Amino acid sequence: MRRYLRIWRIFFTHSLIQDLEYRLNWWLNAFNTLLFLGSSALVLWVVFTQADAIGGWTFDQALTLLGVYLLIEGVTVVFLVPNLNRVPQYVRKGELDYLLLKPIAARFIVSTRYASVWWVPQLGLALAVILVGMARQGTLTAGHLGLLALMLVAAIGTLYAVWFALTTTAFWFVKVDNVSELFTAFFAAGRFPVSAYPGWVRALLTFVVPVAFLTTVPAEAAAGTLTWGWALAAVGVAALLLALSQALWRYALANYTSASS
Amino acid sequence: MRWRPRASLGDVIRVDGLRKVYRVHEKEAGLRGSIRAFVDRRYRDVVAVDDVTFGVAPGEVVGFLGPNGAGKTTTLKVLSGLLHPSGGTVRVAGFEPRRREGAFLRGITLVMGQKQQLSWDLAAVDSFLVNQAVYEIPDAVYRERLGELTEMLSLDGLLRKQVRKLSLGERMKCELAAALLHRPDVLFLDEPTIGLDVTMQQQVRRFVADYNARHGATVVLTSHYMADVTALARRILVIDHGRLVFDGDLSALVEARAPEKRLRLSLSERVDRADLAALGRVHAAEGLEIELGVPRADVARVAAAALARLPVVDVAIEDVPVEDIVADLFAQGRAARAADAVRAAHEAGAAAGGRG
Repeated sequence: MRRYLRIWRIFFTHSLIQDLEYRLNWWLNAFNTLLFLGSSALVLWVVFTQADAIGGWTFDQALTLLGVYLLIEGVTVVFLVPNLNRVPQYVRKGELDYLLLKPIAARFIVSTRYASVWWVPQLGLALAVILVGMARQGTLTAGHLGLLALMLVAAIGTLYAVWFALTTTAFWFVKVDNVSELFTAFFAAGRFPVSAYPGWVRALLTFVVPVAFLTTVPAEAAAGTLTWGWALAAVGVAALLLALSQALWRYALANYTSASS
Repeated sequence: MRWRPRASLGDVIRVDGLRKVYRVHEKEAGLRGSIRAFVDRRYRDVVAVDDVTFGVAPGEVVGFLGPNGAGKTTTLKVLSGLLHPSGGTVRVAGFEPRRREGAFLRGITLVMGQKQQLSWDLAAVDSFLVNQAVYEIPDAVYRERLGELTEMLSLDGLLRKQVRKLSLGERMKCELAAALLHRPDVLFLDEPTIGLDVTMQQQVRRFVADYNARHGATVVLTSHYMADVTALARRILVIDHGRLVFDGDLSALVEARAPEKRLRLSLSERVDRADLAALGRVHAAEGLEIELGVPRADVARVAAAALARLPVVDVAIEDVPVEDIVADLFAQGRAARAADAVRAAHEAGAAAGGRG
């Protein structure tokens, strides 16, 4: 375990070294995030001048949800995109060969080797928005923060598992560059509480593409309105999807090593 | 031809009846073919390695020779655990490579001339740090090994440059260092000198020989540069169309395959071709430069005769280049296969005729 943490630290430092070469990018991204946050908050404010609640959510709760959305998106952009988008390339160019010969889980290297450090400011901003939202709701307590943290971990686990599984299909289809587009499109729906959508869309976003677990559930944890049933479901779904993605990965590797040239 | 015993107990690598079959999908040319392949994929089995058996003793350097697509790389990938064999058994240092157990992976390394493990945008030494952490090499040991490799490969000044700014040869040297930091006992080198210029090829060769001598590591290398193999390996395995066609000493191969020597003559004026043919088999005749093939036993007599009868300016007696011997071996293999095919066609025809 300590070995894995050490390697992750080295990878992160390397990403930092590479990204620091592009100073301007850092500022542009921070500005970009601020702009997105500003415009989204504006939309929320405009909507809430017309109605007191959307799908049962108040302005402060929706603001917290926006923060959760930004945080999950930030984690995706910083940690998932730069790694998972490279998997098809590893397969196509045979770069996986070297990874498989290291006495360490290849999945770990594939998932952690790169990080887009430029986007780290977004994580800070997102966290600030969540805390402000919680403070305005009066739910800024250790208990709520703890549950929120747990739900965020489950959300990231779910997101990672689904995306990783989709990327793993590159072993068979080789070109799966559209997977991330597809996912981003669905994930955009997470900016609003799932209860704001009509019934069938809500079902789709909960059971088919688990967007509800990514943003709505953690935001409910922050608002103190999450039921224990949903909290357990969130953890269970994350664990199940992680296990399934691991099974798929092992199957793909067995296939790769018996077929590739 | 002197064959080595198939495999002995003390061997670090033991391969018995190895077979590897790939399933490839067939696609006809053009859009129509692509559409058909998209709708209805047809597969075909390609035998890459067929019934290959050999053993390698600890500390031995063995070279694989063979044309492209002969099965050299496939064999190395099976030995390192990247490919699962379709048949036969493989043991490396007592492990079954396909299981890729940690203890096995710590004891081997694979270097592929066509692929790289160093990160393009980082300095080589940064990638080394990752390997240090992966293989859990203590700092003091790491520094000592890096110092040794730096000296042996003359890496000074290269390690802190971004890898993409290095020349191909410099990069290859860094790749070798990265692959050896964990000091493996068994080295698999797949075309380690491909694309390098002659001096860099020599440096890499010298390094591999030094490393083998210093640490007693077992080395299995493939190359299609004959010089790599002849300079490093006393024992060679010749593989052609997935089959092992020779396994033994390089010198035994030369003696068995080349009962002739080459007599090279530089003449001062043109002579009749018949006069040359009277001396021996005319291998090449370009202007005034003549190359004759002469049986080993007759070399001295023929050389004397040539000096006496022809306007010779210069004379040299050489062994047949190993390239030619191996090319000959492959040509024979092809001829034998062609004959087999003809015979099979005949038999099939006869059987059909018998029925009709």
